[in-house]
Amino acid sequence: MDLSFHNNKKKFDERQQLIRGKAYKYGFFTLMLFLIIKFVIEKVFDTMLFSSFAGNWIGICLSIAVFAIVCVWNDAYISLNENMKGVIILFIGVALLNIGISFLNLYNGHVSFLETMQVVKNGEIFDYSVISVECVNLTCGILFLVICIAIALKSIVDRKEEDFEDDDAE
Amino acid sequence: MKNLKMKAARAGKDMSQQELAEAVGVSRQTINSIEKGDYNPTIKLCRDICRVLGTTLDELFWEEENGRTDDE
Repeated sequence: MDLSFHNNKKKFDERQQLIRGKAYKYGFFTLMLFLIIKFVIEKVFDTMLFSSFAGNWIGICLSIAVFAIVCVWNDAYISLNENMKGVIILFIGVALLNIGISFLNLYNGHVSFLETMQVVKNGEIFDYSVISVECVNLTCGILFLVICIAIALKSIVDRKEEDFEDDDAE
Repeated sequence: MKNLKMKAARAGKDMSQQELAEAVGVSRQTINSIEKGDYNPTIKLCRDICRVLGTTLDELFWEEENGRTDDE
């Protein structure tokens, strides 16, 4: 009996691997740029936008979104042995679950997306309203929703191109 | 630079892009990109395509004197 899991491994062809490499690069530079902008806003303009974890989390989601969109737009997101419909259904489920949890918590008053952060500067206490760690679910939901929208848009563009090529062949 | 030779060879074998893609183990979009000239395949993939279509590398991928790979 074969107990290895190599059959479950995602399989990408050579063009897809090339595109995914480029997409990782774009995602990496997006995160770098986000962290630099965050640093400049915090240090140069002397203001705060995010709590420590929320800032890093939004940066990570942003870079994943860039990676996913580049891959989706070049047909390198879904592997050869994956079912696109299954992936879309899973992603829509995850997106709705996260957004649902987020708004349910907000509606029940359990959480707030903004929190007050106190920072001591030169012996004085400053209050900042920053995006709190509770935005994690919402950000995650939006990320999956964005990926689903990108897949849907790409499918529409592909279908139009196929129709155009069919007309051309006729 | 479109690769019309490959498109013609595929049509000659009465294969769709999807069928050729499955035969060589790549995605349909990769075959489409090669035919449109958007992607330069590795020699390994070129060989696999030639084997499936029953042609040679020269016939499908050799550039003409003027640097074209199409049948224009």
